[in-house]
Amino acid sequence: MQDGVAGAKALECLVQTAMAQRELSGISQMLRSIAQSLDAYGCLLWHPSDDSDFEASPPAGSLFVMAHWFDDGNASAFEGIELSSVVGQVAVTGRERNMPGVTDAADISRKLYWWIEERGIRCFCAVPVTFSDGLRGALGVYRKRNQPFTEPEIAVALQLAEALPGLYRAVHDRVSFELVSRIEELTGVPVPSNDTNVRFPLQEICEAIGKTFNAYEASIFLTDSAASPEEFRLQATTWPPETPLSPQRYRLSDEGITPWVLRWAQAIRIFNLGACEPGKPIDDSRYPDLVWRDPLDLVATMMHTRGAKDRDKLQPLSYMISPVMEGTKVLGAIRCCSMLTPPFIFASRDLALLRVAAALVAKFWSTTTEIWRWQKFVHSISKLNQQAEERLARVEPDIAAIEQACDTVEAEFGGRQDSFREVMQQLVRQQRQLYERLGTNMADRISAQSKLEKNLKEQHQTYEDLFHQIKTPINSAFETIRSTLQGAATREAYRAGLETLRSQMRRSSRITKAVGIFAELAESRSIVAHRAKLQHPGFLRAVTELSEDYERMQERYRELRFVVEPRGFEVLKSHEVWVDEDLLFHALANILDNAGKYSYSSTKVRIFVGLTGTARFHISVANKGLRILAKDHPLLTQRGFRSKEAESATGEGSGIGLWLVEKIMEADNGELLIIPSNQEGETEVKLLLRAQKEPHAVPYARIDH
Amino acid sequence: MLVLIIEDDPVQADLMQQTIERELGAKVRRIATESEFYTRLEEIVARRPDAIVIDVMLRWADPAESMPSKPVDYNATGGYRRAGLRCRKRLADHPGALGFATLLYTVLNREALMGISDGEYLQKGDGFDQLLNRLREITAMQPKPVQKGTQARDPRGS
Repeated sequence: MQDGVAGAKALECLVQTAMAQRELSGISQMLRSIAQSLDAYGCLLWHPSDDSDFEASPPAGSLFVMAHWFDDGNASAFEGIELSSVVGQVAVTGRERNMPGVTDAADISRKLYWWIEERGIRCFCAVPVTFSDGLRGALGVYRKRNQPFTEPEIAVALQLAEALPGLYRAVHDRVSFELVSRIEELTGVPVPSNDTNVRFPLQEICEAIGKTFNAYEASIFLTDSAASPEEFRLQATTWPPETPLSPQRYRLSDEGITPWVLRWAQAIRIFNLGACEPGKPIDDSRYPDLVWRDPLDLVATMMHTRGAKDRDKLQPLSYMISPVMEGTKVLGAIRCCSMLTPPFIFASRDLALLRVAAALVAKFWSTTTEIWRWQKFVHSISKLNQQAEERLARVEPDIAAIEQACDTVEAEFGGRQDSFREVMQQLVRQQRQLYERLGTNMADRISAQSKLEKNLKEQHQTYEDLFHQIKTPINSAFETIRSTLQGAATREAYRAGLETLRSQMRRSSRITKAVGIFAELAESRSIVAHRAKLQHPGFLRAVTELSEDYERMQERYRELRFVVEPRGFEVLKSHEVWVDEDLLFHALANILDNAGKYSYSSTKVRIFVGLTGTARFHISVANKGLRILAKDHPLLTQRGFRSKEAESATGEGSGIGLWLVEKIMEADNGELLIIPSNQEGETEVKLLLRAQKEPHAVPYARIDH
Repeated sequence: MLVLIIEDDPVQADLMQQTIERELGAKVRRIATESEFYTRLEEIVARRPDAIVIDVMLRWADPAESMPSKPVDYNATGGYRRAGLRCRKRLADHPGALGFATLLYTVLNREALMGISDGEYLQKGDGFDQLLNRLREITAMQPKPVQKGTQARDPRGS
């Protein structure tokens, strides 16, 4: 009963101790609890080597110290001990052994024997331990005094050894949870905006991993998004800064453990790197072609760190690496090297924990690099926009340079086939369209502005010309009136004065009418025609008067004559022509004005009317003067157009004459027809109007007759 | 007194000639185009008119089968709209035309004609009153030609 109480108390003590542990090295405290409950000097927890096979015949492998505790604080370093030894047999058979005296025990491992002697151990017991991953090991409990373990004590030891793996697993779970929480906390902070800032959480993660496993080295290698995706750069490490970690960059094609993991995207756990031969395959069955190069001189470093005199005395040099994966893509690797305190070896659950950490880092890194890419992309777009803005400010519609910059952005970000690329291409496409529209709009604006400036200039010149054209006859009119009033002595002299005055008024009237129509058309209003039927004698008289006035306006020395041919006017007796007479006379005046300006000296300007072959009424003005070239023909009715020759003969005029005539004819459902110079050099301008045979022409004619 | 009128509007030129001849008793000679002015420049200089009235907007030449070529800078210097200014400059550049009295007689505003002094500019008004007044002023300022056989006297007397 008392023994049962002692066992329960020892178990309670072990549970409480386990519950208080926050680190994996807490396994030593748990061994302390066991040792103290069994009134022992200390404990050794033995773990089978990775190559152990207890079912083989004979059983293969060896045992290593996974953790220890001694009341004098002395640490122990053991290479593997044989399975044939007492402790080895306990692990293999699963049966406890009580060793009341050890001095003459032949089956104690020879490797262990020197230690037992050195420490003055008199007796010990070894009980089997089944680790949570199913591996079998042993717990050795050692006493310095000569008091062999009793059966009840062995029973307690068995009980405690049975509970130990589960309790250690609980500690491991807690530590794992804390590590995962810490990494989540570190990766949950706002994503850094540059390379320097991102080092901080990665270094913190590295420190947390190193601390959790109490590793000599914990390092994180990640692909640098700016460089080749096949290159992995050291981002963070706990490697002592005195001797910089080398290499700091790995390529997939490099040799060694880390490149192998990056290449094959497979996690690796090596039980004892110290047992491996540099330059030779490590474990061809599990890791084909994996060769360890030891560029860090790790074995020598660890021997120095742990005070081992030779390689054989070195505790297992555990090593594990997990790839950092985003889906099937390798982003990098996290590696841990050798625990400095118990437990000295990385178990499979440690590698599982490292893989969880790697998954979190992967998430963090892919998000971060994605955001970096976006930031860089946004920066690039912003630069493009800046370029566009500069062009806009300088009013440069040429966007070739921006197009080139767009190509560069696409080339820079379009390397990987992923959703980012699609979105990026879409955005760049939209930007391109925007720039193209901007360029086109700017070109249109420049063109419009240029047109507007040209129009304004033309308009200004038109007004200047109109002013000149109207002012000159008014000036002359005043003087004509004065000289007529003062100097005309005869009726003929008065008549001559008045006729001169009428010519001047005719000119003024033509200009004022032009100004009115020009103003209406400038406001995009159409000309309104008030049609009335053309009457034969009245129309002939008016045309004759008009031609006389235009003849009077010419230089006498040029001997230009304006001749109206009256015969054709007869057609108005048999045909109805409805027209706005005021507008028609304005059109005719413009044509006569041109004829006067461009006719050669001593020639005739003929004015004649009639019906065309298509039964339209025409009023024609034919003159012999400056030729109309075929190339100029389509331009004649353009506002402000003057042929090269016409420019020479122009001293005034707004250049809107034929433009106005065409508009007037359109308003009157008529047409302006300009027939280029014939072989005799005669040019003809026709005003064509609808004509309709007068319905009562024949009966009236009969009555008249 | 000889007045030269450079004016391409025949009605205007006729009236000016009649008025100046009637009111000032001057002889009037007329030129209608810019090219005619250049052609007759040496003759004009030789005749030494007392006043030259120049319209600003002038046609280059009368229409003809073969027309004289325009100056290279014709359009750049304002085309027909500033023909009178080119005539004035050509005259000013002529060494024999030193001291010639020119008057730009135009409907254009003063502001449109840069570099022209007030004395050389007159805007066309309603009738020729102002023109006549300016021509009277110009001719009054001209030194009287010294008669052959007469001796110039010291105005202070002797």
